[in-house]
Amino acid sequence: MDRVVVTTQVVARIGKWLFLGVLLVLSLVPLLWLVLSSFKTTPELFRGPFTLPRHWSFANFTGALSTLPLVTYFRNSVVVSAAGTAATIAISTMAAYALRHKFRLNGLTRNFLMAGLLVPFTPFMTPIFYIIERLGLYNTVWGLALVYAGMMLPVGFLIIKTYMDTIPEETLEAARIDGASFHGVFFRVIVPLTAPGLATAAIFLVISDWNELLFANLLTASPSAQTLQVGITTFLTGYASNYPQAFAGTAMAMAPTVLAYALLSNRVIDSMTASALK
Amino acid sequence: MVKTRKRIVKTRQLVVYLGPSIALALAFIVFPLIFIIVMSFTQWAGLGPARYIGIQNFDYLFHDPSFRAAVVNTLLWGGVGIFVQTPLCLIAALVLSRRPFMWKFIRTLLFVPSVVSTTILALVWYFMFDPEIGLVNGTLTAVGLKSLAHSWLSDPSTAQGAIMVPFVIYIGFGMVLFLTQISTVPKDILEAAQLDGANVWRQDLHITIPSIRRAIALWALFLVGYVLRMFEYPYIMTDGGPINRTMNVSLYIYDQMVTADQYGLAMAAGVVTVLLGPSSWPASCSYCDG
Amino acid sequence: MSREIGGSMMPRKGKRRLGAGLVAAIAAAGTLVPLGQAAAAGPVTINVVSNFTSNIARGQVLETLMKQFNASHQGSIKVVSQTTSDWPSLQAKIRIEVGAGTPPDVFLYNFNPSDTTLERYGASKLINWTPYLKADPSWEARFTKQDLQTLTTGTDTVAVPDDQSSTLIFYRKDIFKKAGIASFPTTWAELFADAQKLHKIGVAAFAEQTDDDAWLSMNQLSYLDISAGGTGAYYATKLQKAPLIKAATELKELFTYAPKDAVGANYAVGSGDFTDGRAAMVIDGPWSISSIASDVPNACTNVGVAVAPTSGSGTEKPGTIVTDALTVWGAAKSSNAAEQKAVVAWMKFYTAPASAALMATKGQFPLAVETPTSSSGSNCLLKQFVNLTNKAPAKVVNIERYMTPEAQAQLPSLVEALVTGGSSSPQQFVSSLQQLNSTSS
Repeated sequence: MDRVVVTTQVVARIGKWLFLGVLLVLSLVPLLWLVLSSFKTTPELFRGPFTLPRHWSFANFTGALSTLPLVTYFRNSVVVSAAGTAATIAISTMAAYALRHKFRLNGLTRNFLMAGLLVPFTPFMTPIFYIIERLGLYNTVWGLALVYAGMMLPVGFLIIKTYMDTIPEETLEAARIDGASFHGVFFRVIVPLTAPGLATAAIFLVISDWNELLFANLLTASPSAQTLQVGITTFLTGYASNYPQAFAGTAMAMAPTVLAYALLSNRVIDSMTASALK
Repeated sequence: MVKTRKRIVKTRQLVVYLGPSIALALAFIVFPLIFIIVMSFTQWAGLGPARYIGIQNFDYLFHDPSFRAAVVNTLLWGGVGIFVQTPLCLIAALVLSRRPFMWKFIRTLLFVPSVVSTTILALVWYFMFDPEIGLVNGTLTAVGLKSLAHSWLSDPSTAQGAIMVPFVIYIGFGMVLFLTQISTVPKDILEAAQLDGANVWRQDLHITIPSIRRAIALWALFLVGYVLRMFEYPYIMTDGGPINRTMNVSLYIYDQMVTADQYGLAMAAGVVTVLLGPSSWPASCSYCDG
Repeated sequence: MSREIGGSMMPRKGKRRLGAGLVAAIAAAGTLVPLGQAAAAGPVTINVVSNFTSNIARGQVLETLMKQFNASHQGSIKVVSQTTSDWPSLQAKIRIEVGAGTPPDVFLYNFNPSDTTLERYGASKLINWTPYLKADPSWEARFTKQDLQTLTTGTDTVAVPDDQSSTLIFYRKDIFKKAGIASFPTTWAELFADAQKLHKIGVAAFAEQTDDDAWLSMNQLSYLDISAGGTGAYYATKLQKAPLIKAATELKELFTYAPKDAVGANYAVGSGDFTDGRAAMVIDGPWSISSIASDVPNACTNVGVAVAPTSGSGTEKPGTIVTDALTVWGAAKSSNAAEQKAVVAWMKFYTAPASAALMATKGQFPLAVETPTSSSGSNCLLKQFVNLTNKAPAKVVNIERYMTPEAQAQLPSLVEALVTGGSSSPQQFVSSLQQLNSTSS
């Protein structure tokens, strides 16, 4: 009996590490290749993509930085993602709170706000462009952030509402009895208790906004507003593809974002577990 | 779901709290939806007058083998997302939730690809699968399996599978989501189960997974939305080919709008896509009730 | 078993601050460029919209030219470059903007006789260049009569020519020598024989491309078509059937001599096949010269530029060149007279002899204006290229560039069907193409 248990444990452990190992290799080898390639010259890349570079040159990195304002692009991405996410979260949280109350069109409104979850955005290029143009927000980070806020609203709303619904009405009732107003209940009870939901939504939204390319290309036209994704794909298209430079740009962009995630991720988990331990 | 007894609310408060979201939804989702529905009945080149042509666009779509392939492929992407990618994310999260050696480091490593745009990932895998200079064939040859070396992206039988590889493999995003959810499962319940003799897998199956089933359903739903919008993988890796076999609806729309200047047709395809979405709801909700 | 979640707060807080600080520092560094477009108070600002991004040669020349222009118009006019590197996205943006009634100040697009929707429906919002051309005959004379005629409907000239880049064959002299080919073939029959010789030493004939717009392979199809049917074999929506079927058959045969990754190859992979010696020839435009010169070892001795072979039976004159589309500049009509004058002034400066010379040599991108030939700064390949271009008895635009947009969208997959073992015959290829290419708007 013991031997069987031990063997199962060993098998399970091997299986676990095999699984993780395969995942790690498959996920990371391509990215390692990307970083490796950024040290090569273009002909070297095509001649032997998976060999070590002959000379480890930083030319692509300096070239990428000097030919395009990558730091500006990075800043724009940060602003757009942060602003878009903040807007979606704020607006969704307020809406989810409002929907906890009884009023005639409650169900309809809820479905209305979630309806945009599964719509395709590509054909929306034309109408959304018209709107942004009319608002005078073309080629600004705020226009792009606004579009992201709107496009990601159903996702954010769904996540936040799902979390908010776990807060029992009694908690709200108790606060009201204590004299909290409509707004008071929101700020002092709802928001802190929904924090894990807000954090989850934030992860979704920031990453979705960060990686978006189609509308970033459409709604921006100059470095003051173009995002990192637009910047990196500048190296990639048309008749002058410089893959090593594009990879160098990507590698440089990966570093701070991953660093930020690694250092901030603990906070996210803390906020999630904090509420669970209550 | 906890039952909420609804309370009466003042109209003024409703306007303040619901106003912004309704405005955003109207501007960026409802108005465009109406726009594409109206335009789907026209022939339009993106500028100039739109000619009303009734249901001709839909008729064309119905008979276009390329669009049919696109619909089938999109449903396939959705299925792979729900039944392959999501379980992979879940298993990875469950494994890491037990905090094995260097779990935080592994978690970060697996998350790194999420901050790289889909375009770059597609490009990297485009090179990986290149029959001449790619790593896949290179590795197969190196380990003596040269006979398996293939033109992965230009062979109709392997192309669709090949372009799905990066989609399935990059589980970091979903895994992180599940991990954070799992960490909210009260440890004492798990400890109690362990004391009762349940091993790790039993605990996960009966306690952990059901506790986070809402997150799993959310993720599956999110993936469905994602595959309806995503066109980078087929666009960059195969351009929808070979011979339009790996087309998906989003790429079809993109091609019709941007290259063929057939905006009316693209809008019609968009309308069909909108109808596709809810049809996959039941599948993703198979997770809802554990 | 379960680790403590709280852990030690101080180091974690410190790490957190570091992480946030790092992101903030980088963000702050980039704030040196103001967010959003600052509205220019004094000078008239003209946005020039193109795909001349600053990381490619012609983009850098454009920026130099803009600096010069802005310096000499200090305080009155300021031109700004707005670039989108992806051509289809750029065109979609321009189209949507024109459709919305707010075209960009100056923008670059391909003139396509099969699709004049932009010119027709945007006419009321776009500049008519005729009065400005007529008022300055010396400027008008810098463009070819044929180009201006192409761009004129009735009395209105809708756009100003930018370029119509030739495509020629770049070939590896060293590989040819190794394969035992004495000189570059002058007929297609000779070329196919040479392809077999190349095949014997394991090298492909032409670099190919079936992704995106199948540019590299479409050049071959165009040359094959005019060899079969003369310079009138195709134009826009008119494709002569018999020559095109012959050309498609020959293209299919060329693909049997193609690199292994030919099907599904994009432009970079295709060009990479050439610069890396996996393919001995490539048909491409002048912009490829800089990467060929830098990526092929000893490019001046190892790479040659040649005109395409002919049929040998006199269907077309030797040296006939297939070109890229006529790419042109359109501009928004403005009620503000100062803006209008600024746009015209910029366009005149851009097409001036000195500017054109700089664009041709440093930018490796000859414009469709009379350009003074100067040898300073030209590299060996560019010299050969310009030489052959100037000697060409006739020029025809690439078969794909002037097709209807629907045909252009489907062409790559039709090519894939044609060249992948038997799934579509040349006859089917041509009839499918003709069907898609039949309506003109």
